[in-house]
Amino acid sequence: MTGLNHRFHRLLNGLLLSGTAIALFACGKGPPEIERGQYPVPEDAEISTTEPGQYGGVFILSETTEPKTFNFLVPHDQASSSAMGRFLSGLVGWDPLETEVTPGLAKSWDISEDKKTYTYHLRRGIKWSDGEPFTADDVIFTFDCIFTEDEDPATGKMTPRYPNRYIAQFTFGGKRLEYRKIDDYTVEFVTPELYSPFVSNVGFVEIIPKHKLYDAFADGTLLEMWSTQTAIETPEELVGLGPFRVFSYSPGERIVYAPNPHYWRADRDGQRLPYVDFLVTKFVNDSNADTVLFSSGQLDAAAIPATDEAWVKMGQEPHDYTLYERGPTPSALFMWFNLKPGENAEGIPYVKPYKMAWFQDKRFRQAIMYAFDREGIAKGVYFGRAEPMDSIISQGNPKWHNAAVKKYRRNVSTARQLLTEAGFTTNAQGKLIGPQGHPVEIELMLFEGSQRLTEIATTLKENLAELGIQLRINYVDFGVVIQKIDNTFDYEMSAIGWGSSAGATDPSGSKALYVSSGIYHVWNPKQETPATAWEARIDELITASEQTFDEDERVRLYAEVQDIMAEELPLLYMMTPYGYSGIKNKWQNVIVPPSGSILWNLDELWTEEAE
Amino acid sequence: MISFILKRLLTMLPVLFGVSVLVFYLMSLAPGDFLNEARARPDISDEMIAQLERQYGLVDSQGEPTAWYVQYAYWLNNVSPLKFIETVPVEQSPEPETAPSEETPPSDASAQAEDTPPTQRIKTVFSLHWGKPTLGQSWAYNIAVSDLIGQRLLATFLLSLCAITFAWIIAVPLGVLAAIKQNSFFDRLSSLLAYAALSIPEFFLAILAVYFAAKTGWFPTGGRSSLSSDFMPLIPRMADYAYHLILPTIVLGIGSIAGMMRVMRANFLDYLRAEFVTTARAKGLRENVIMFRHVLRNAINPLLTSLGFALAGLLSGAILVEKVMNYPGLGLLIFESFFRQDQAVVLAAVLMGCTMLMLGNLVADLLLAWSDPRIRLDSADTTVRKGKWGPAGILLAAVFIFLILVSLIPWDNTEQMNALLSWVKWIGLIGLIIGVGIIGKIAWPTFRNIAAKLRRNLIGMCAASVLGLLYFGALFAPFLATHKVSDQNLTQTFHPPTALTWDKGLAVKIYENIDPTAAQYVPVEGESLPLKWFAKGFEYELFGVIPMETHLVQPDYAALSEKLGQEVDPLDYPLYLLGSDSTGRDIFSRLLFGSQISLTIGLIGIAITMTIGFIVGGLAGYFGGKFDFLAMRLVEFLMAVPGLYLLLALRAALAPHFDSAQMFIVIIIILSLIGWAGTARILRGMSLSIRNRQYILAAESMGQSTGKVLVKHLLPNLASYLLVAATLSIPGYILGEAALSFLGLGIQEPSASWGLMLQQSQRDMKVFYLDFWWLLTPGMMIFITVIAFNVLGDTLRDIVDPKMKRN
Repeated sequence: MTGLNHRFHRLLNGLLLSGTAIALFACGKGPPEIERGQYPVPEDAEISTTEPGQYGGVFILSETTEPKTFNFLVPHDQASSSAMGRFLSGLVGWDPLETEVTPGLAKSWDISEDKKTYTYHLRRGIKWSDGEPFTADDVIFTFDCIFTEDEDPATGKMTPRYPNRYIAQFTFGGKRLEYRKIDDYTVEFVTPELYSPFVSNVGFVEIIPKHKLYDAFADGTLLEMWSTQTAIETPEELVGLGPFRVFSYSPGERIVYAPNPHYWRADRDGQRLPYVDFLVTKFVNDSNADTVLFSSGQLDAAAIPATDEAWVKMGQEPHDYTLYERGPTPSALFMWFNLKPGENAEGIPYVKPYKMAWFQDKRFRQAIMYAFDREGIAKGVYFGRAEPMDSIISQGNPKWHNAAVKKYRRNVSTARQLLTEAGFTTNAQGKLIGPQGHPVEIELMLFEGSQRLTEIATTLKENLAELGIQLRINYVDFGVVIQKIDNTFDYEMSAIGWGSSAGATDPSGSKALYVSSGIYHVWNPKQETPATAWEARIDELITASEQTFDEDERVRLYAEVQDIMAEELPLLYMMTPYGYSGIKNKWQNVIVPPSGSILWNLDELWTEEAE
Repeated sequence: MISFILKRLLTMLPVLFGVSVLVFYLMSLAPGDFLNEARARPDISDEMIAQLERQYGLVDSQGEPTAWYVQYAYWLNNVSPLKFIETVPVEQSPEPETAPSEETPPSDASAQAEDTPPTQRIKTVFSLHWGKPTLGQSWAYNIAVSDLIGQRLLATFLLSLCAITFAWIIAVPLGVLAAIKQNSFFDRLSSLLAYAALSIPEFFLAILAVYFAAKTGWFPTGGRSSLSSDFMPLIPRMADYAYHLILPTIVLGIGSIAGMMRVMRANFLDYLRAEFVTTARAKGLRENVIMFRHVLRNAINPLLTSLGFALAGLLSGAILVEKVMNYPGLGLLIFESFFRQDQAVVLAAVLMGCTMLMLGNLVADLLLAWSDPRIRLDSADTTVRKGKWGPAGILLAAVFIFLILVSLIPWDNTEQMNALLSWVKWIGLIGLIIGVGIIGKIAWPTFRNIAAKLRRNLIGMCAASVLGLLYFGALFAPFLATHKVSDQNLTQTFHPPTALTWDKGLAVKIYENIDPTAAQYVPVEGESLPLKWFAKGFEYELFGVIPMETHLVQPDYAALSEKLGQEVDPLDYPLYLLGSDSTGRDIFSRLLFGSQISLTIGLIGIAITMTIGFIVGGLAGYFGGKFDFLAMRLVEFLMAVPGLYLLLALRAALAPHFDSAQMFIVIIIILSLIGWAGTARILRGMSLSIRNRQYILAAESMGQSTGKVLVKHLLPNLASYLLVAATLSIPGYILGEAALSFLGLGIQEPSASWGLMLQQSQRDMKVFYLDFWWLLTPGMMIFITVIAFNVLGDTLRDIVDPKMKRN
């Protein structure tokens, strides 16, 4: 027995020893020196207006999802776009301070008299991250990748060689965008119809290097290029014009970016941007982990959800960071009733006719909104860090938001009155009875995943129970939701969140939601002719806004769209939470824009405490 | 030996084939396909979706969806080295390869408008030839599956290996020590801790570990390496990996430590009493030599077997722990792939898991044979009962009828489905009552005997009373509850438990929210809300039939308004015995209502698995022969599919066809379908040993019918084992429900279950950082229930099987 004890001790000692060794190693060395290269700053480089800083430091961020690809032609998600945005650039950029389009790879542009021809003048002398020169050929190549067509052997029709989402975006009234090279530093685009958002939309296309990808483009393997495997094995192959280049990628863990030594921005002292030595994007599995990492000082910046601000702010002192209140976020969260008329192939109506009659009645929809205790949710669930959403363009997008829209606040008596006007009655058991004598029961279809949505939906259920309406919440898989709202249309009510990536700069990004023919006109998508007068009016307004180049006029047009949507309520708006951004105090040049990411000028951030 | 290994390896092929067909079929039952996500995106056009559909083979050249078996054939062709499909270019032949389906309306997705069938330049023909096997492409990641899995494999392998090693290093010495110092303080403490470790849900432990790491800063909160590890030289980088492995290893290892330790201790004690030990002692051998050379060597055998099983788990990944601890392993990848319907990845993972499981079993058998020469690898048991029913035929017929019934289920018609379900519910309930009645009648003497012995066992009685209390709570939930299950109060969210106080009668304190931005409530001095016993509250129906309004306790607002001299709004003076949640619902009431689901899932599930397990396993053991062979192959087939994958596949296949309110049923079906195989195997072993007893042989030779022998003699003797097995496996169901709900696949709002409530609090970091500890009570309830069942099960086992008795 003593022998056993002895062995135990030895074992324990061994464990303790290796433990200390590990601890020593773990906090030993910092990152290596970064080789920036001494390349002269080209004449056409953009000079930053911020105070010059000094090189050094590692900036650590986190993402909840990993990039699926680094190839912009492959269908990709938000995470992939943001990874690509680090090492690629578009012709134009976006300034969230001035809320306007800024020069990117194009230093300037002209718009012709008829507002259809756009001429972009490219920066001269700038280079790809591998040192090859950047010219108009690269821009033309990028658009060739988008638009090139081949004959389909099966049907004999012309189909895109690399089907991608940009084709639809740059097709106007059935005709495609035309583009041509004028000289090595000038390209020209012609939109077949008037289309005012083009100036900003062209910036969504990241320019890719012809000298790297032309061979793959020619032999049809372009979609296999620049996969995650490329980033893992040969990150130097990912050549771009963005502020960074991919340094290494460990799947499931992180991407490390290093500065692009040929980036086209510099500061007043002639130092190339960006200042940081490394940018690390760490992958975490859920946004909670992200928030926890930031609050324990392990990340340099993070977006903090409204519901977590209460405890994250407690770490400001010990971990030396600051939380900025950003006001209402531009995201949109809404529910809607299925207003799709008609029936499926077997003759079963999508929605039971008597229910459709309720849903189509504006007063019914308004009554639901008057019953909905959204202020209670703002107070109880969000601890006061949210407000009811009033318009499809939320309060978080002040330039386009229409503050004068009709607002709905909890008022049960108004709700009851509206229902009475619409012919609803209440029976002895307190149940609401529809005009045709049916008890009012509605099924709300949700997909599982969002805690907030669940809280909002259960609140609505309780609120509607007060009116005598029975709301059944049915959780289904994501695939089922998509199938039902897209194809089979056999549901009564659903909810969805509307991202802000495209709509943030210009509401025309959400066109598919507004126009009656749009696929995201969720309550009644892909209509051949507008079903109602007000939908027809919205269609007109959207078309008008696309053909107007006067910004104030466009804002006015979108204000009317919002007025109609708030009055007719095809969408039942939910909450606009406040946004919070946290960043460590050691970073200089932090400029908090009115909306959008706090890291919009990441290339200008620098620190004195370079490790 | 070598022929044995070869034989086992060869039998793996049909199993792999069967498993891949099964999983492929189950996945095809889920609505939609891989392109769901793409369809949901505003920026991807319909034309592009159509083109992608063709590219991925989801539709054929006619634009019609491809049948699952056609897709499977292509997949099989890719994966096998012997190819049977070849694509050959053909000249503009007018004959399309697939028969055109008669007059289908032109699908809007495809772009073909012409009436003539499209001519293809490529057609598929049947031809055998050799080729390079490939696992295919991942659609979501657009790279080869082998690369994708390769990216994650090492991390998963390292973690599992560490966890196993850790468990062995700790469990074996601890088990031995507990056995040697039997009944000492150390023994008691370690067995108490082992119970605790066995009963705590793994993901709950993981959450606590992350929280611990975040609070102390001693360990990384997640991930596989630190941010700067890319810049480190080799040795520090390895050390960094090791540092990140510590917490996940401990969390993963603790469960198996507890189990192994208990086995080790029991075995060691068994052999300590063996005759050879006495002999050795008599011969004057030193105690150390006896312990380590003789006893340990023998006692470790069952653990060696478990090592084989552990090998099986090496590469399957631990989804729950990976998810919580943010560890980039295979588990999460596979989990995502299931829900993205990324077929090739799922199938590759399932095949890999299956192979590992079967290899693990093989290794376990070999290890056992190596460590215990008495065990022979090819054991032939030849007794065959000639039943009158042609048992094998009946089994086949039963499986056949079952499959036909399944194929008749109206998957896509909600109304018929609801009608069917209500029928199934009633028939099932009646069947269950009859079944329990029969078993009760037959096994009554056995149970009474056991109960009498249980009454004399203090610990067992304690566990039984705790369980009794819990089930009483579930039965009388609406009477005991103070609120309705869904009653919200948005002005009092995250309210702490209202402390009880005495103010001329029982009362609770009144609280004031001093910081609405962080939900900080403090009690108001000198004010209290009186409580009233057996007072009127919301209306409910006790046991679903008796309409009542009386509740055990309710707040007395009349008395309060009298005291304050003004009308009071009940919403401002809430009664929360265990606090409130994010929408101000009462946790205490929700726990009670939730227990109705959490506690019954275990009972119903176990009733189903025990019934199937007894019918298949008991009869297989009794009859032997073909019946046994068929039944055991079926069982082995089911057990060859890694449980978690089977669970995910079944969930993906079943859930979309049910309402979320019916999720309860789905979970029971899934857990029972997975669980019965193991039970059947155990019961087969038991009935195998009973069937050759004298009394059975006597009954048979007296000419009793097979049925009578089964019911009168076999069943009563299995009953006590059934009881023990049932008690010990109920926690599996409770934890199963919790785990499913934790992954977001289980019970849904507005129903309440402990698993769901726990998940909701775990997803909310506020709970930890603002110390809303009362939201973790569901975890505590699960823990208490599971530990009670484990203790009761152990006590019952000691009673039933005195050989295993500890003292």
